[in-house]
Amino acid sequence: MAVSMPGGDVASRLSGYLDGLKNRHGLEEGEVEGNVVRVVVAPESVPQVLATAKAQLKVLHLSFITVVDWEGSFELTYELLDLRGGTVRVKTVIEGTEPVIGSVTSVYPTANWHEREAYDMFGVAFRGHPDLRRTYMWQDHFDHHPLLKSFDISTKRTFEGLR
Amino acid sequence: MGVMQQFNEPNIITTTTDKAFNWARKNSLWPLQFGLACCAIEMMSTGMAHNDLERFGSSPFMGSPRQADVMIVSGTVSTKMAERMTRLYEQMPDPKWVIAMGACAISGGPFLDGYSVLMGADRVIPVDVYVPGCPPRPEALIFGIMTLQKKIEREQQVGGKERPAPALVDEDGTVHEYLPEKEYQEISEGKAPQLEGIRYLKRTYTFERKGMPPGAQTDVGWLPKEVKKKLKEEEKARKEAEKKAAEEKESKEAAEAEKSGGAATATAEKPKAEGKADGGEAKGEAESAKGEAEADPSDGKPKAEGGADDGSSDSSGSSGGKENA
Repeated sequence: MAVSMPGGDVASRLSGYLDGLKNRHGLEEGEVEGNVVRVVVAPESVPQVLATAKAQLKVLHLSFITVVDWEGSFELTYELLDLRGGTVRVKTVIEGTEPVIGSVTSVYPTANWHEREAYDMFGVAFRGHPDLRRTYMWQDHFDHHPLLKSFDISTKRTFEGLR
Repeated sequence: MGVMQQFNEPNIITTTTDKAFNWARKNSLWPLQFGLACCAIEMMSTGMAHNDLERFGSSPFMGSPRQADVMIVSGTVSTKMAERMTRLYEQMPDPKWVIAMGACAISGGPFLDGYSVLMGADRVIPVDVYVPGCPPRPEALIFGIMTLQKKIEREQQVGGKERPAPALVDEDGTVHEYLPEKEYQEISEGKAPQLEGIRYLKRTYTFERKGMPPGAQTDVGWLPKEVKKKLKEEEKARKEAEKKAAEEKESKEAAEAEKSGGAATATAEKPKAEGKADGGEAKGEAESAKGEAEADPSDGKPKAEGGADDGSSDSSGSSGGKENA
């Protein structure tokens, strides 16, 4: 893939990423902390922010998506790597117990499975995902998202659909 | 091997088919290469040169269930894996045996309370030998395989399927065959003479389901009381509903026969069934609606940009062409 990646040392690249994102989108927070650009955005603008990072700023790799269940709100973090020591961490908070957010599969194809996992474990619905199936848990007989705080671990759970 | 008789001609042995087949089977066990978790490491070690499983008449691990006759369930069986494990077991040709290796394969082990863990492989496939330990040492697995060989030795080719296979140890504890376990018991209990300067391996493994009622220790089909109650109630409710529906149907049919046609029959049953179906489908519809919401304006931009990016990536080939030109 012929991509012209921004040159310079890590510090200048990171400040470039931060400025690039600040100029194009309304960020709730944005700072450089060590090798990481920490950015907090509204959940609606996550796909655009990531698209900017990929297409304009050439941050090539989506490393992972994390979800935290704060009981009432969900905190999603997208970690992007520029593969040369710099990291862009995009954080967003979705209010409510049934989180819905736009998919970034069209920006980073690797988000496909990451989002499936987030859906499987936390029930986060990704709007526009091409194939939002469960990755780990079995489809039938299991109607839970096990990493939610509201999911209580119980031996009885094991017997669901198994007799 | 069985009754041997010396005839005048050489190379003649008389024996029963049971003995002959069992002798052949037990000395060429082909285990399936099927590792599920950390027990698989010990299983690998068992097959390697140091422990050398082959000297006990168990050939190298086979990569295909079609060529295997022993399945060593080595590790935690998750509920999702249970389906695959069952399929592998069904793909193995008869005769076939199963060894449950380690605490997880026996009962779920330390992951007993997990939401995704099957409480023992014997819930889905018939297990012949249980090898306790977490994980069991290679010696323990070898002992399990040798126990399986003893079990195979006692199988019957004719009529064996109908009768339950004779157990090595009776319920009252009578041992029908020599078990090296007996010797080990004495060592672990300190009865056997201990040699100075030699530390003995711990030979006995204790295993219990902690925090579970005593019924769960032995009964494989054990269910929690609440679940049993719930199942019973569900069954009762279902039967009653069926009865009611049948009665209503009969009465309506009788009424209809009196009226000789007219209103639709069995209406009391239908709305219930439809309501249930609607409840089930409502979720699916909601999800598909989410999927259809692709036309959202927020997605429009990234898609276009993604396309542009693709174009630039494609141009790598064309730029190469330009250079050549």
